[in-house]
Amino acid sequence: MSLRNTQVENRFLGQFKTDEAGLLATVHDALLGADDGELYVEFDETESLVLRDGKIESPCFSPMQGFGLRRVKGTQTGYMKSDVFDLGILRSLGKDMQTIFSNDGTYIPAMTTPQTALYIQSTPLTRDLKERIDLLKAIDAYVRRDQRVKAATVSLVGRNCEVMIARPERLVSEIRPIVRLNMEAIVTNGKDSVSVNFGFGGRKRYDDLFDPAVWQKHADKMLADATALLSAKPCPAGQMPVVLASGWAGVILHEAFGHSLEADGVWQQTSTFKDSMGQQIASPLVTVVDNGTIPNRRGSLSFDDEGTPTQRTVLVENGILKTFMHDRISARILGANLTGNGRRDGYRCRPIPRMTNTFMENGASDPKDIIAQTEHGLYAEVLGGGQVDTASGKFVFEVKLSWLIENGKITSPIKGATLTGTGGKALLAVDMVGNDREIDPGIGTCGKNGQSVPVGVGQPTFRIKAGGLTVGGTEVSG
Amino acid sequence: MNRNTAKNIANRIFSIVSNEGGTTAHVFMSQGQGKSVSVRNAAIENFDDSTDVSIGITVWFGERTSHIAGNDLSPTSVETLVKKACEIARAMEPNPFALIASASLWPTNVDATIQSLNLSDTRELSVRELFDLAHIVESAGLAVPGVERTNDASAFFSRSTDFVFTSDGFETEWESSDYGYGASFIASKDGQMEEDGRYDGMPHFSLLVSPDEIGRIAGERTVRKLGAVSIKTGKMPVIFSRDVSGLIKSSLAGAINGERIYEGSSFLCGKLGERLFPEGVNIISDPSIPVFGSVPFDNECVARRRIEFVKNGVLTSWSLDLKSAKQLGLTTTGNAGTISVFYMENGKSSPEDLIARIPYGFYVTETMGHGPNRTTGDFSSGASGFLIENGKLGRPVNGATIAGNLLEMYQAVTPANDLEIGRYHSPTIMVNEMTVAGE
Repeated sequence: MSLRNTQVENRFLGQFKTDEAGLLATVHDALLGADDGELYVEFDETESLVLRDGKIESPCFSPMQGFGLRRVKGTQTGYMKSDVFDLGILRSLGKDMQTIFSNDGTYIPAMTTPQTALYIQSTPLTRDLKERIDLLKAIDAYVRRDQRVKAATVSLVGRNCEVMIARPERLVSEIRPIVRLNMEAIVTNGKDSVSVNFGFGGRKRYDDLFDPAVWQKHADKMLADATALLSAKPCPAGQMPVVLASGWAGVILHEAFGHSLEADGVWQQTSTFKDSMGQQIASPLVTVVDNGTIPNRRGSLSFDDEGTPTQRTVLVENGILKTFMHDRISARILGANLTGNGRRDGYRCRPIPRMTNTFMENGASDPKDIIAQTEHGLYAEVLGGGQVDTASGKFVFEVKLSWLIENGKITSPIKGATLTGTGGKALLAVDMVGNDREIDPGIGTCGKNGQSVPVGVGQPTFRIKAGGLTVGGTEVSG
Repeated sequence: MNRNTAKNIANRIFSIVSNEGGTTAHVFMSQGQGKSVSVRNAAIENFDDSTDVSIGITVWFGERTSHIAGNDLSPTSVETLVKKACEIARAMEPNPFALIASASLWPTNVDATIQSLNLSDTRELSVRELFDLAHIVESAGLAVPGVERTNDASAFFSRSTDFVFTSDGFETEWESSDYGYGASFIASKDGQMEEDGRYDGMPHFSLLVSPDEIGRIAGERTVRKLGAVSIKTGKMPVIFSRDVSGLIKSSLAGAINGERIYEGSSFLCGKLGERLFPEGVNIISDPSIPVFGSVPFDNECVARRRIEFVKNGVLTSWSLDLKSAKQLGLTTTGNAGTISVFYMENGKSSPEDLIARIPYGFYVTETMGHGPNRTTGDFSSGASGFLIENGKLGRPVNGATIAGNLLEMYQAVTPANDLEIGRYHSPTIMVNEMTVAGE
């Protein structure tokens, strides 16, 4: 048995005016002479609601649908798509692509089949407009109880994505729900203003997001960040030990390792880690995994966008590079096992190797000891996004709020700054790893080759020695 | 889909909205087609072909409004979409800022103005032609000594037709096209790999730089990054090459947005009429300049016009749509959505003259990461480029950061004279002092 959703399949087969056998036969004919490829069919409806300046803005609703046919021959890929469901169009796309590459391939069937769904298999869009408006108003009122808040924006986005992937030998389908709540506040002390935000969500219904105990806790934390930022000092510039907080700060792993371990850059020989398999690329304290199988997580998928089941993949074990993240092309070219990392940004895009939820596993240190044993350094608590150049391994990430560590104690809050390092060096300098691993609250979106996909990150508190990262502040010491 | 079929769809929508009790509707439709080819080692690696249609509908029931988007233009699907939009709007609460542009704000002679911009090329490129272009770019780059292999080499074209119809009588259509090619390459030295490249894109195929030259520049840009050194940590002059100098005016665009001014979330609140930049610096929006994306009206159908947002160093205007204009007690500047063709004017010196003034500094060709904080004006970014030593460009630098505060950076700006609108919307820019941190 493979993972199937009858509701999803009935929708698409009905639109194509065929049955399963008819569709699979058409896909078979369209991919004659190819080594690989599939039909990817998608219906994606997103609803969003924004409350800004105390008023509900025009709500948006966007149902989009279409399919893409991919034909792979050797290292060559053809991709054509249509937003009109018609078997005749599908046949002609197949024929068009047969004229572009050679047609002497032998189709390689999928060897593994997804079994179970990791999230609800019905639409998450179950709350009516009134309920959603009331939630945003309640959050807005709660945030504005703080007299320092001069502007607030609250938004709620839900997406019901139905996916069916047909290969000549089999069909898989599922619903991929995703929801997210975001709040942002402009907070002032009369003299200076700062902007703070917090978001959370996952692959689930809205229900958790409606729990006041949950959003009040997040709103309180957001306003506490504002308090710190309003008294924050300029960030120092240069080299110093950096302690990274647990949770979302794992964006550093996503940038320092993650992208460079996506295997398209390995077979194309463009990744800084292309020749590093089996080598020490991080401190022995560091173990990093990519795990697409955690239920309800933003980066999770029951199967990737090629139909391969996702899995827990150990990328780096005790500092040694163990595995790259593969799509079907890279796994075939490199002779590696599939890892379920072939992902795409909807039916308009062909799949490429992407991360799911990428995080560092726990170490042995008590996070309190990591601070206590740091004489002078920076505690990076609230992070933003990051970016990497996978050829050189140079990466950056934004720290929105950090704290000075002086004589083993957290002292003054420090303004935001960009931190930079090199993938092959930064994590060799890790000298303490905590035992408090957390996964982020469900906010990550990752961009690559113009495609955006939802991802997760996470880590325990850990420390990078001076020299591992460059801190991009304005204050020059000495 | 031509204008008549599009208009028929829009009219059907208007009659449904009206029957449902709606007061106004705006309909945007777009259809596009495109092809792209990437090559590696003289063979096609990826071929992509797309045809797309999309529709966006905004409906008003007085002060109640909603927006819906879809990509299925079949009559039954459109009817379902519109009824859903009406259902949502009716369930909304009134919003006094759900405004509609009056006819007096629409552009005049809009069809003729669009025609005169001449932004559409009819040339179709076959897969074979795209392959040939990408192959020439790749070969020219691989021929540069030191280039090891291809990271990407590609060519594409896309064309689209957009339509807008409003139930109160505004309508137009505009065609646009986009052609481009380019490549990025890998080179290495002592085990350290570097990647860089060059891409060119233009609305007319004939305006593109030749594929040989693009490939050669892409290769040279890659090789020149080899052997990078680190830069001293300290305060120094920074020159932003045209690859990155647009960040100065982009940071300004975000900070003069009327909505941010109204909510007090911009570091430029209260600075209207102040001299933010040195005398002689002008930052202008001019939608009459024919480059990709020039359209004579904004997302609310309000006419766009030439605006000198910064004139002789002084901030003269916020960027406003109907809502933020009403909130601030001003009139819209036609900037719903974006600021169209927003550029910094040339200064007097050549980039070489600016470099020649600097004993030790940093010439930045790439930035990485978030950059500006629009609320505080703090700026921090990863950066790579070249050392400036004794008035000359020196060795490559990577892994550095640059930081400062935008208010101070703006005051310290000197633009060079190498503006090339359509490719670069800012000339090379010198900032007298920023904090640079090296490895």
